[in-house]
This record gives sequence, structure tokens and C-alpha cells, in this order.
Amino acid sequence: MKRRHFMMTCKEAAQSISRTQDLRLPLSERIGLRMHLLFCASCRQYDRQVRWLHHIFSTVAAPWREARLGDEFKSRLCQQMRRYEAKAGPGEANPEGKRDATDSKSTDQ
Amino acid sequence: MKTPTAELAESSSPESWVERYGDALFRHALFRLNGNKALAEDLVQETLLAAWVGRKEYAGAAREQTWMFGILEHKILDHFRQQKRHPQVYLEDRDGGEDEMEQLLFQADGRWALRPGNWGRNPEYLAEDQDLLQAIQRCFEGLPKAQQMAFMHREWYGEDTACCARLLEVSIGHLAVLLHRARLRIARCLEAYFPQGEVRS
Repeated sequence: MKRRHFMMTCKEAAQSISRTQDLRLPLSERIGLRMHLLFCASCRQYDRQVRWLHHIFSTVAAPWREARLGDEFKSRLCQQMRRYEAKAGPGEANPEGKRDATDSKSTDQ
Repeated sequence: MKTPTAELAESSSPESWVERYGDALFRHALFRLNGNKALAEDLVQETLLAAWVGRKEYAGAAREQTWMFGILEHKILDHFRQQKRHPQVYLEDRDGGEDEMEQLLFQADGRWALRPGNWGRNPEYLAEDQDLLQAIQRCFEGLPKAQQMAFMHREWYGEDTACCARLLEVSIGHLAVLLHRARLRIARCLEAYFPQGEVRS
């Protein structure tokens, strides 16, 4: 039988710290984590870092979360995609599409 | 209501691709390029064109979305390379051998081998800090692909856990593991940015 320790290890605690961000933890895991954090300064520190990361990422990304491409841009892009297909034909894909992109830009003007 | 055939036909038109993926790719590019709108548009355009032309090769392979983000990410890294900003590869960490970081960070008995540094207290002034934003981007680049996708959807887009798991086609349990590993890595990677803890001039 696997020996179970009463206390979580730091490795387990780090896992639970992350899991609290995403899931509702089972009661036993929540209690285990609380207990561990009570006694472990390093894991309290890690807990702080994980929350901080979450905060930073959501703050930084916030202005762009709702960003949308303009309708005009979209329809221009669709036209370009159609032109590409005509040019490349089936099976002659150019996965980079770079050279063509500059080509079609210059012919546009 | 749409018939299955109509849906199929629609799924292979440029309009449906641009509608379905355009905005998501754009947001990702904005984040990675720190809000540079013109450049983000260029790279999204290149990505969709490349994906469109190459789509036959990918029919039935990886999920369209994952594949397209891969192309975009590739172009973003290309851009950085041209700018001589080399992406940091933190540890050899392609998708195999995923426990590397945990092995490095913890001792055999489960205690920390490398303790977390003294940072993460002050959320306010740091959001304005361009160096920090760059450091975070580089740490993100160092993540394995699956962790990147998980982290991106969960932390950047703030999507809920169940939705992320569905998008990535993994179980919720596995998603939690991916996110845990991503956080461990990013936190570790940022230690280099806070060598003395958070006291910065």
C-alpha cells in the first residue's frame, strides 16, 4: 500500500495552488493546501506569484480581448484569398505565402 | 437551420474562415506584438492566406485552429528574429518529457529545490513596465505548444476552464495539468527578471 503522508508536499501544494485558479477543489484538497500554506513560506510565495501572473495577464490582455478586425479589412482579405486560390491552383500550395503576398500587394497599387 | 451540406460548403469559403478565425488570430497577434495593430493585421493576413493556400495538405490533420495559431506564431517569431530579438528557449522542452520542470524545481521528497523568489506582491506599477511585458512574452515563447495554447486561452482570453478544455480537446484534468506546468515554467522563467526580488529602482 502506498504510504500517505498527512501533509502535502510542496510539489503537491504547487499543483493545488494552480488548480484553485481553474477548478473547484475537493474539500480534502482545499484543507490540505490551507494547512500546507500555513507552515510553508515558499509555497505562500509561489501562491502569490501565481495570483500575480493571473492579474498581470488579465490586465495586460484586457484591452485586446474584444478587438476585432475591421469589416473592410475582412472583405479585402477574402478577395485576396480567392485570388490566391486562382493563382496557386490545387496542390501547388505555397505554405509561406510570403512572396505572393508582396506580389499581390505591389500589383494592387 | 443549416443542413450539413450547407455547413460543409460554408466551412471552406474564405468568408467563413475569416469570420471564424480572423478575430481570434488578431487578438493573439495584438497581445504578442504589444498592441501594434498594423503589424498584427499584416501577420493575420499572411497567416490566413498561407493557411488558405495550404489547406488541402492539412485536411483531417490537427485541429484547424491549432494549426492556424501555429502558423501565426511562426510568423511572429520570424518577425522577432528579423528584429534580432531572439526568442528565449527556456530548457529543451518540446512537448515530450514534460516533467522536466517539476524535476528541476522539486527535490525527490517533494520539497522545493529552487525556491520561489520574492516577487509577486505589487500588481499596480508593473503593468506599465515594458521590460516586464517583454520578459513575459519571452517566457511564453519558451512554453511547449500545448501549454501555450492552454495558457493563452485561459489567462489571456480569460475563457472558462470547461470551454478551454473543449477547445483544446483535452479533459479538464489534463488541462489543469497543462496550466500547472505552464505556470511553473513562467514563474521560474521570470525569476531572471527579479534577481533581487521585487525591489526595483
